[in-house]
Amino acid sequence: MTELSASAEATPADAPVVSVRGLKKSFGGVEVIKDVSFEVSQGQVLSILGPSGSGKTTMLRCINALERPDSGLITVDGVSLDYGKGKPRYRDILAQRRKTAMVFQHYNLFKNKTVLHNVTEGLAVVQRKNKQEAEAIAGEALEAVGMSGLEDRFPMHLSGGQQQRVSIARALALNPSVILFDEPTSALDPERVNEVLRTMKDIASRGVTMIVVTHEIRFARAVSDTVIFMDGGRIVEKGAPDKVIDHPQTDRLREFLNSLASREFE
Amino acid sequence: METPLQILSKVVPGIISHIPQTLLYWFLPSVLALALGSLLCWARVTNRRNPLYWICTVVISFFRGTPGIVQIYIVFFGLPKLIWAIGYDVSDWTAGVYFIIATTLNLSCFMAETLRGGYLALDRGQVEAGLSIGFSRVQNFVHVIAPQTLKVALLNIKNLEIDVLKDTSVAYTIGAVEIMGYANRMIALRSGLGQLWILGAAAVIYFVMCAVLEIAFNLMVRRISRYEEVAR
Ligand SMILES: Nc1ncnc2c1ncn2[C@@H]1O[C@H](COP(=O)(O)OP(=O)(O)O)[C@@H](O)[C@H]1O
Ligand SMILES: [Mg+2]
Repeated sequence: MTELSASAEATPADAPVVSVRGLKKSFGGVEVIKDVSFEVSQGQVLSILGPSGSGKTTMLRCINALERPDSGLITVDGVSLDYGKGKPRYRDILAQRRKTAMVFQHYNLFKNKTVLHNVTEGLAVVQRKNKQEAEAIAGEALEAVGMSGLEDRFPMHLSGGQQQRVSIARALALNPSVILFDEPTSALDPERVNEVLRTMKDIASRGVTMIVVTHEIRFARAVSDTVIFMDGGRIVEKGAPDKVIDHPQTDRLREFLNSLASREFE
Repeated sequence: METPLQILSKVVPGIISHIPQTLLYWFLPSVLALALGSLLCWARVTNRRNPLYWICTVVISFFRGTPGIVQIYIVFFGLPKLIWAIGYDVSDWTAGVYFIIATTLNLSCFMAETLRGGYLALDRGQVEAGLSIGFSRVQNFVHVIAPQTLKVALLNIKNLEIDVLKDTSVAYTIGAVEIMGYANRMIALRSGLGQLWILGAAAVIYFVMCAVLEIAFNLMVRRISRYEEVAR
């Protein structure tokens, strides 16, 4: 199990694994991330709440280097990209991507590959593990998400919840410094949501550092160390879950929490 | 008076002995066009401000919009002059070389558009998933983009390849000898005697080659689409 627990390597205990400083990003002249800064320490879970369009996805994509910020400094486990100094070197972008892994809203599994090969692909190609090693690690990761026994299935023949758990295994197997979750349960049928949330909770309890964009308030309260509420491209509130979720300070967060609560009775 | 059997026994061995030429005139352009077509496709999916985009667009529409036989004549008669003008003598090139060049150019353009169709149908989510797990651009191309593009394009590529195989039969018009060139020469030598039997024999051989190609491609399509099969 050691291979799947978080990478504690060189990072000192209290140094942040992920640090975002002065992040700005605009699309076509419209600024969607306006000077955002935060940090996540080793083994911590950060949840990000916020209405649709507030820039949550864009922010995760910046940390995964899928999106290029206009300015700001992003550091992941010692790899820094300073976007204020123009376009970073491709080598550094790749290095940061390899420190992070993303779990997408729509799973984005490789449809032409089996469950096992979805997980081994990154291990074999990026980390140059041999077949045996890759399959052993993948087997552990699939076990961790409760997908053992379905290794030879193709994604098409899995439920949404199962696909999402495979995509979590794909991320977990790479043993990244942080796993980024972008609304991992919002594309799922309601009865499939809990299996994925339970899986994420298991992963969190292994000490994996996670940043989770979610609308699942009860999950965020139970699992997170810190909660951020974003609106209009800014961090509006930030703190421990019992503070942010149970004692919101701003009208905007109160309204947002109310709208989520009422959604549950639809 | 010869019986049909006698006619066939005289020409069929000769026809069969020209199968390698026909296959060469099909295979070389196919391989070259896959490479050249990929380059053209790449130019056609980059942004439109790139001058290469427009150059390739014009070239492709020329080759797609003119008859193949015209292109073969232009290459056969024009290319030596062009090469001669820049100071090389290519008088020892055989007709087959010009046929292969013309076919490669033509097929590359069709290949480029076929591949482009596959590329445009790419699932962006999977491409991003590849990047997100740390694939470099090259790794992502090899492991995500190329297989998916090929999968979508493969049925069209099959049709292109069958056309190219059949169209090797016009190579004789510039004097390249393959199955059809040989059959024509036999017909001329025999003053047309038994013409239909000879053409018929050639037709059967083309048919068998096309059938084998079709089956091979169908197997490939099935293999590459395996993941879409209904669960057993
Ligand atoms: N690739 C893009 N091009 C243009 N606008 C975009 C792009 N991606 C996101 N946006 C815009 O940025 C804003 C924030 O989007 P997003 O990060 O997806 O928010 P959230 O995930 O919080 O719903 C939205 O207004 C969205 O329309
Ligand atoms: Mg989003």
